[in-house]
Amino acid sequence: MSTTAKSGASPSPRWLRASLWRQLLMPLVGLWVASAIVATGAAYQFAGRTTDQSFDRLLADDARALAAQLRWENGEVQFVASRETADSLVFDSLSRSHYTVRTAAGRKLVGDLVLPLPSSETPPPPDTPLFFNHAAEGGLMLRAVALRMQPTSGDESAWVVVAESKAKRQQVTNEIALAIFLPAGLAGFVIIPLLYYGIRHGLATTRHISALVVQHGENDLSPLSVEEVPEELRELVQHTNALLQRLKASIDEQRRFVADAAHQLQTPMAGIRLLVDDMRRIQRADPLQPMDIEVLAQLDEVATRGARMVRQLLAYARAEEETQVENQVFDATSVALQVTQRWQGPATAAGKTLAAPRQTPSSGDCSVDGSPTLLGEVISNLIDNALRYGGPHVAVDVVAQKSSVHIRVIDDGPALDAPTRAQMLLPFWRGEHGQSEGSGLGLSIAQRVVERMSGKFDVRVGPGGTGTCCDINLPRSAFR
Amino acid sequence: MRVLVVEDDPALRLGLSRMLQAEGWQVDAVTDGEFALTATATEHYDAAVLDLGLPRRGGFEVLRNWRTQGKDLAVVILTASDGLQSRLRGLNDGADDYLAKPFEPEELVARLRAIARRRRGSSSNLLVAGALSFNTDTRELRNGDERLPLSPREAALVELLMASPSTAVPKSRIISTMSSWESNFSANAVEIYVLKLRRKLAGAGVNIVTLRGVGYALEVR
Repeated sequence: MSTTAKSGASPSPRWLRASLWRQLLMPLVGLWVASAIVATGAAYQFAGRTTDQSFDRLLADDARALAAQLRWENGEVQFVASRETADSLVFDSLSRSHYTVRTAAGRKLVGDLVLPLPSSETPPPPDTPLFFNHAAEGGLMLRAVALRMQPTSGDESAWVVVAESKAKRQQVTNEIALAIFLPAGLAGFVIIPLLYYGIRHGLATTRHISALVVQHGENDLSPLSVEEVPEELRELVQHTNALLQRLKASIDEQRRFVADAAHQLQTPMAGIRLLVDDMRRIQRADPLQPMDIEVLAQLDEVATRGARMVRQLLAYARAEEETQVENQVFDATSVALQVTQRWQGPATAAGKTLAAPRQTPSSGDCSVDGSPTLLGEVISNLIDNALRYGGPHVAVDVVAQKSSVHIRVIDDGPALDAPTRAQMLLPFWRGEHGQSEGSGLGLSIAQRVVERMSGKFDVRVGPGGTGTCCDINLPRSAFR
Repeated sequence: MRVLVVEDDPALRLGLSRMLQAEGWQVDAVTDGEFALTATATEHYDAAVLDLGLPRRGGFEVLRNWRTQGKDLAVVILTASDGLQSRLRGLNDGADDYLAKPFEPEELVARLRAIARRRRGSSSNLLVAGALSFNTDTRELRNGDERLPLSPREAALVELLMASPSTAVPKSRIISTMSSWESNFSANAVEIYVLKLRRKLAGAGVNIVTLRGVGYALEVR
C-alpha cells in the first residue's frame, strides 16, 4: 500500500507573537523620532542658507559703504575717508571684519589686512558684488565680498574687498537648528507617555474581553457579549462565539455518547453482578459443589460482548483523534483488498461468499487522504455487519469517479425501509427491538470516521431493490 | 410467589432468575415482549420483573396489555432508562415500582416483597395463624419459639395458606404458584406437599382442611 505523509504547518512569524502594545507603540515612537530628525536636518540646511544670504547682504553693504568713500580725480582713484572712519564702517560686534581697498594695479588705498581678489578670469561688471571663501593664515575660514568700482571706462579701477569669519554664521545656524530641535525633543517627553497611556487605555478592551472569558466557568460555553466590544474586535469576538458554539455542540455530543455508552453497559454489568452473587451463594451453601456450567457460559458470553463493545467504543473515540494524527495519502483499493482478504475465512465459516474489489487498469486512481488504519476498521465493520445480518452474498467494490472514490459493501439480504436505514446510523441502535448481538456502534463509527476524512457515508437499498449497500464516498486526493 | 422475568440480556435474565429462585420463589424467564404476553396468557404470575427495551414488543406495550386484560400481577420495571418521563410513564401505565439499572439485588428483592405485602393488605412481613408465624422475608416458620424447617416449595405452600387463614385456596392457584416451566407441578404433587406439611404442623394447633373440588384451607383449632 502506497502512502505519503503530508507536511505540517510552518511556525507563525515572530512579529505575530510580539506584544500588541509594542506593535502599536514602536511604529509611533519611530515615526516621531524620524520626523524630529528630518525636521531638524531640514531646518539646519534652510537656516544655514538663509543665514549665509543675510550675512552676505550685510557684507555687500559694508563693501558699498567703503566704496562710497572712493573719489576719482583725473581718472585716478582716492579713498577720502580716514582709516578710523573706514574701520567704523565695517564694525561688527560679533566678530571683527577685515577689509582692503586697492586699485586694480595693486596700489593699497586703505585696509587692515591684505585680502586677495576673487580668482575670476574676467573682471565682473562694476558695482557687482562677488562673494568667495578665503582661508586665512591659521586656518581661519573667511567669507569675502569683492566689489569692483569704475565710474567710467577711462577711470582707474578700484577693488573693495570685505571679509568676515564664517564662525559667526555657523553659530547662528546652530542656534536656529537647536531652537527647532529642542522643543521637538522636549515634546517627546510629553508625547511618549501620552502614547503609552493612550495605547494602554485602548488595549484595556482586550483585558475586558479576557476578563469576560475568565469569568466563564469551565462548563459555561455561552457566547461572549459583543455589545461592549469596539468595532475592531467585534469580528474576533463573533468568531470566538462561533467557535464556542461548535465546541458546545461537540461536547454535548460527547456527553450524550458517554451517557449512551454507560447506559448500554449497565445491563450486562447488572447481569455479571447477579451471576457472581449466585456463584458466591452456591459456594457458601456447598463449597464442594462444582461450578455451574450455565452461569460460567453466561459470564463468558457477557465478557466477550463487553470486550467487543469496549473495542468499538475505543474505535469511536479514536475516530476524531486519529484522522488528525494519521493523515496520509493512500490507495483505498489496497486497504479494501487487505480487509476483504482477512474476512474470507469468517465468511466461509458462516456459509457466505465475500467478493473482493477488483483492481484493474480501468479502476482509475483511488488515492484518498486520511487514516488507512481507520478506513480499514470501517470496511471491516461493514463486512462484519453484512456477514451477520445480510444475505448469502457479500461484495466489496471500489470505484474512482472524477473527484471522489466510492467504497461499497453490498449484500443481497432483505431491503430495509428508509426510517430503519436512518436509525441504523444512531449510536447503540441494535435493530428495531434491540435484538442484534452487536454493540450498535459499527455504523456510527463508520459515519464518524468518513466525515472526519471529509467524506460522506450513506446506507442505501442494494442494487436491484434488494439488500443493503453501505457507501463510503471519499474525495480523491489532490496529492496523487 | 411465582415471578416472571422479562429481560432480553441473557446474563441479566439468568442472574435475576437465580436470585429470585434463591428467595424461594418460582421463576420463569422470557426474552421478549411477545413471549411475556404468551406466558401470562397461560400461567398465573404473582409478579413480573419487566425490562423496557425488549425485542418484538416493548415493555410499555406489554404492561399496557396486561393491565388492559385485567392481569393483576405486580410489575416492577427494571430498566436502564432512568429519566423522569420514563419513570412517570411506567408508573402511570400500571407498574407497581420502577428500578433503574444498575440496581442493588437486595433492593429488587425487598421491593418485590413489599409489593407482595401490600397486595395481601398487610404492612407486616409476618403471617400469623394461631401459634404459627411465617416470616415472608426470611421464609421462616415458627410454632411459638420453635423453628419448623421447610423446603422452598413447602414454604411457598405455607405462605399461600397463611396469607388468608380459613379461606379456601384453589388447587389450581397452588399448582400455578408452585410451578415453573423447568419443574412442572402436578395435582398429585400438591397432595404430597400437603401431606408433608400436615405432618410438620401436627401439634401446632392448625389443620389443613381439604375442600373437595375446591382446594385447601388452613384452619386454627
